[in-house]
Amino acid sequence: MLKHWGNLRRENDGFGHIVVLSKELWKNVRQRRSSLRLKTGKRQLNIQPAVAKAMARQSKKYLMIKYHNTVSIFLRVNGENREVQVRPADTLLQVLRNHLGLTGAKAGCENGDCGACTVLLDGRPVKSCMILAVEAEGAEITTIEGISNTVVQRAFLDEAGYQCGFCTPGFIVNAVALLRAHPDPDKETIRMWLESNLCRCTGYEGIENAIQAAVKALKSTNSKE
Amino acid sequence: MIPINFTYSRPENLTEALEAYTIAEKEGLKPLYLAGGTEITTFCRNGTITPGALVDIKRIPDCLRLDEEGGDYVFGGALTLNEVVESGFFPLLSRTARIVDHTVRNRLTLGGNIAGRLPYRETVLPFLLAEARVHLSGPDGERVVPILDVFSKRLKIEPGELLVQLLVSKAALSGSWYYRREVRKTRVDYPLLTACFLSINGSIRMAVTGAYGFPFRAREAEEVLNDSTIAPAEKPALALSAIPYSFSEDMRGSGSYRRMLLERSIAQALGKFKAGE
Repeated sequence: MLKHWGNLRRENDGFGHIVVLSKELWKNVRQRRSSLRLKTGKRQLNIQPAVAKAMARQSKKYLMIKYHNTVSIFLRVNGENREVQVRPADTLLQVLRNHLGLTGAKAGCENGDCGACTVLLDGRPVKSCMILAVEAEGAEITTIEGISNTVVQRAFLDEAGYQCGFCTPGFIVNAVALLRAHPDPDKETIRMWLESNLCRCTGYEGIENAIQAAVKALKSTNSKE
Repeated sequence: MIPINFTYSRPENLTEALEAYTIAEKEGLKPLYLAGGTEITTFCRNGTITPGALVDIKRIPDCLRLDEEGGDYVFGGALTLNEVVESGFFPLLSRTARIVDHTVRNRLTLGGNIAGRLPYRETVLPFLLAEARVHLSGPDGERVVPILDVFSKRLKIEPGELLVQLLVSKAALSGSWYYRREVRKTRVDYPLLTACFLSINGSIRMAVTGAYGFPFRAREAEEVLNDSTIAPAEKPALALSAIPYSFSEDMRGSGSYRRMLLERSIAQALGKFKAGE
């Protein structure tokens, strides 16, 4: 399908993406395709959006991507580029769990209240049930599976900062972000960050002890250095 | 899971955003601008809204501005509340923007909160008090208008218009301020009431949300608070009597309880401003 959009042109790239580029840039895309000897119809181009985006950036031209129906996108998760087929309406949590098999982030309330689905997006904790997967394109996503051998995890084990464990990944991801942003947080800062997560077993005392232990361990490590 | 389908566009400037919105509207898709998405994803999930297209404005540089220009501070509509809190440009706003929890504030945006459908929209209060201006972009072009002209209980802008920025004069931030937020249990909860006060050149301004079901600048109450012929002790009760709306009644609190809390907040604000004289 080809449509004109002002002085721009948008086309379906064959992967369900509507890619909007200037006419000149589409010409470049066609030439690139031709050189790759891939099949292109008269009005349909099988070009990966990542390639189109890179070309647009290179030529500093206009680019807007529009997704409809099921699309193929790349997400950078725990340091790896992962290709997934998603609907624009799929949440990041759904895609992590159901498409990528990363079940550490839990579907608790799926309403942004409990924090069991917390992941890091460019280092900041976010609730993945409230984010569309397509919004996370281009961001560095870190799940609990991408966090290993941290002081925080050790402290949760040592202090028994868990009961049933369902909320634990969310707490640990959030606590890791907290200690990266504030290596020596005061009580108020700890409370402000961690009130984003709920523990239905009400095991808050153990969780608080774990955070305090992690802070102490970090201080001790830093002083040795 | 969101049980509907929609198209998703990610423009990188205002022109593209408007084009994407206009085209979607012409196709009958009932488009919405998407910023943080905290309300949109929730409402799509429970079926309250069924947009056919979302136009993501988070990568538009104009919507992400957080700086000074001339005599104004500029706040982009797509700034997250944590970015606003951490900026410290506008202390009353930094305090008021500490709503919901820290993790949600990494997504919830200023424009999204002000233009949202939930009744509280607390971050608009400081802008109402500072008599900020809003930069809007829509099918008929761009315009900068006083917020008091387009915000009456809710943001009233033209279809397809986007809240790009809020501009606050530095001069409006020179006065002292008082903030009070009352909740039933935890501070993450929705408020029973949030009241903000700003004193500029001895004149007190007041804005409230939660207590009456919508945010507003309480001009009738301000007249009482600034009337030197009224005894200070009588002002809180008289100020509330002057407000022409009824208190909200819900499971969080009764109307009379909210009245008591707001009356107390006004008295505390007056005490603070008097002590500062």
